[in-house]
Amino acid sequence: MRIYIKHILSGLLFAAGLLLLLSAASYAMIPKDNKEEAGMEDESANGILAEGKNTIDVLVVGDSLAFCTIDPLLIWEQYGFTSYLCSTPSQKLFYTEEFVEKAFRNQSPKMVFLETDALFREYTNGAAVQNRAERVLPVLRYHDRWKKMKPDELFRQPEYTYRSSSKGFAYKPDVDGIKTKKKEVKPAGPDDAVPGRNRKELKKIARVCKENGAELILLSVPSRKDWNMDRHNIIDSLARELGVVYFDMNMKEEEVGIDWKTETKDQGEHLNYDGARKATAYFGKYLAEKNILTDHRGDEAYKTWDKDKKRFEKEIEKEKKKLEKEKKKLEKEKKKQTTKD
Amino acid sequence: MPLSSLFMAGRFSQMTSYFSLAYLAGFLPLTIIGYSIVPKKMKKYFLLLCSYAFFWFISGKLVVYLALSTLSVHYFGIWLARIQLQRDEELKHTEKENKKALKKCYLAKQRRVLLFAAVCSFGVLLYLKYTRFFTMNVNAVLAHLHLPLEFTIPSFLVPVGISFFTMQAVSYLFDVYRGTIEADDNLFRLGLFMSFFPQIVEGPICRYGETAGQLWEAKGISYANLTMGIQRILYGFMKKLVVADRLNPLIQTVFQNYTDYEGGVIAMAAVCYTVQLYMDFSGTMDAVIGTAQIFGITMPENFQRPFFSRSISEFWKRWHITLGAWFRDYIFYPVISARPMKKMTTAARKKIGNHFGPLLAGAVALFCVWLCNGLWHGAGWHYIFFGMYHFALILWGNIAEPGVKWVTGKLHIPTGHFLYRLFQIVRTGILVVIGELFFRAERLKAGFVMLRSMITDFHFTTLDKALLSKMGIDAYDLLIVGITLLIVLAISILNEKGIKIRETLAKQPVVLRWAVLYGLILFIVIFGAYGLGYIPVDPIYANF
Repeated sequence: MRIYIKHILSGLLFAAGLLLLLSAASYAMIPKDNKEEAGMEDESANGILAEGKNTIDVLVVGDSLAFCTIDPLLIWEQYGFTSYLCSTPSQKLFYTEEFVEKAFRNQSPKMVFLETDALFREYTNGAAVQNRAERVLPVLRYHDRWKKMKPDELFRQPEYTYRSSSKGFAYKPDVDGIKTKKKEVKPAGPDDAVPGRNRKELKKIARVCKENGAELILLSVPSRKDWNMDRHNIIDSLARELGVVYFDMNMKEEEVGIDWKTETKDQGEHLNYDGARKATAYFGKYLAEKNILTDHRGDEAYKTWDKDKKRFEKEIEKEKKKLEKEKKKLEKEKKKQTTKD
Repeated sequence: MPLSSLFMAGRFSQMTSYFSLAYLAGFLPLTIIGYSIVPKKMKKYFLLLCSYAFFWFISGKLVVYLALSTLSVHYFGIWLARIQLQRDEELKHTEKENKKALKKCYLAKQRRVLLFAAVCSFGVLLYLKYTRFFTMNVNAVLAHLHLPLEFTIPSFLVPVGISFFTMQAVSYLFDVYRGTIEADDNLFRLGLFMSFFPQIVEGPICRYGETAGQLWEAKGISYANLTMGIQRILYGFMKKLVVADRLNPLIQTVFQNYTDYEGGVIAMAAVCYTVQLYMDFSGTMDAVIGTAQIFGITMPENFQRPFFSRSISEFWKRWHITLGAWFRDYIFYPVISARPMKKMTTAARKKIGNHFGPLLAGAVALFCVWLCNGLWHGAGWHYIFFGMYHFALILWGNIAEPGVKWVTGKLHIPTGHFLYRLFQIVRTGILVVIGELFFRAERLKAGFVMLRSMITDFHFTTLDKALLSKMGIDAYDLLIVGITLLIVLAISILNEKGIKIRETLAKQPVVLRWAVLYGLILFIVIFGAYGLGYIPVDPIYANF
């Protein structure tokens, strides 16, 4: 019996030592900045880490539907509210929860919008366990940084310097509209169900929001390919169950006024920049009607937002010129080809 | 065809890899804890239950193949035993002069049962694995002959490990037939031998006499076995995660787009694939043998430092040992000892001497072995070529042996000298790499194109940072692979010299032992190729 206890104790001691070592390795390996070149993944969404303390009023989480739709700088321009998009491509709900938790470390948003498309996304138990393990021991996520690390980075405290000029929004000017005249939405299918583990994650997100004094709102942005009435009804009943608000912009199609022939970049799944501006305008109005947010325009503490806006506008101009150039080049080549033929 | 589309139908198919999170952090620890808790008498049944649960997790309803195979083998084994019992009973009451005839009669009876049982076992395997290949070739012939006939190409779900458990089943029946072992009247014991979870996916191909008794004994888990087992699993984990998975993008890119690369790069990819295959398979074997050790079971080794081999024949005695031994015992010996072969050998000895005489029958038996070996690895002409390539090399080695001895003797070449041995090792390595090139190639034609490119276009002019990046790796990846290979090489050299590292380490003070283990774990955690941007290689031998 004594030997048995001795073996158990030595096993526990070994595990404790290992945990300590892995924690030390985690400290050494975590990115010391929130830039991509420093090893940070999803740079744009993680830009929130460099935002001033408690300067974000509205947090938006979810997948690409969110970052293609909500333009925080337009909201800033029109209403003076500060918002940030911690949304990433094909975001899984455990990652959504990670972002919500991460955002609350430095911010105290009054509202958290969760784009509902992520609620329908399946993932394996293994992926969720892996995410959990990576959050406890970041070395499991950032282990590959040894390739680019400088020796002085090993023991340095992280210092986040990257601020996304678009606040997580993605500028998508391409036009690929819906050709048919008939209104068509996503056909009903087996993927119109919220998996059990997503319901649990959602409850966790709701709890975190409540604990931090933020209102969780479920948001469905305009999309023809990722939305249908079945999905609306599921989210609606889920919102009732959780006691949170469900704001479905697809149910306000006329008010939002999206022209699906010209304001989508991929035949109805995501909005393009023109569509995003319309949807954001409606979203901003919704925020204003809530009457709980402050207009920060003119406030010294928020001066950087005006600078960021100018920076983003310049970036858009640059991108537009680049696209124009490419377009002209293509046309030229086309002309050349036709004269040759 | 990717593994997932052909094999497996279970909900937890990721557990097919013994390095998956689901297996290492879920199934295995739970099984160890459960096994430790259940009473001694129930341990073997618990292990059987866990083995079937594991197979069900990875194969779903296909578990029925394993169950039916076990049931049929159990029945045939008892049938064979009954015939033997009847024979022994009758022999007691038979006159001496009639005994030979009686024995012959019963032997024929046993042979018929054995043949029927083998046809049943292999029939399922052949039907599931080779019908598609056969139909495709028939269609190709029909098209070539411009005949307006085409058969539908079937597609089956094949249970993981079917080749492995079928071979174990047939070896059991053969051994019962030969009288090496007694038929097992306990279905559960036989079931555990057939299904033991660590070896069901990739082997080793165990013999009933080696493992069934140990499994049924179901010893408790000892501290020494637990730590040694975990240590071995970690070593395998390092091979798989740091080397095999890290090389995967390079190998996939070059083998899929071989026409885009010059000979030097193709040669590099072929060497990398050989390394990957060894690291993946031997690493998995480390995990399998380590897991079995935790439960107090000693499994046969499948690798014995194959890259130290001085000839192809020696290589195959050190690589996938249990498969080679199976072919030797159940194909080579039965073929070579068949009456027509014996007659042929006797006649040939008289005509071409004692060295070359037996080679003729040996060549026939060797041909059968390597045809089966090629086909066992998969239904494809490149696999058959792979088998025939090794058949030709081994046969040539046998034929040329006296000539080589004569030449080295005449030229006074010291065959025991290190440099000569190194030359033999390098030569064998090159031949192995060429064989593996065909083994990995998508088709036979692709293999030939790649080989031609290696010979006629051998240079590395385009090999730079940009090309490495195109192949999905960088110089750091190659550096870490190199360091890991050096570690494995150092351990292999020590093992080859008879120094048992694990036993030596076990005698060291606890601080040193823990430091080594901590170092190994940190090495795997930091330098392993996992997470974002990495796609782990499917367990390669689970395909076979």
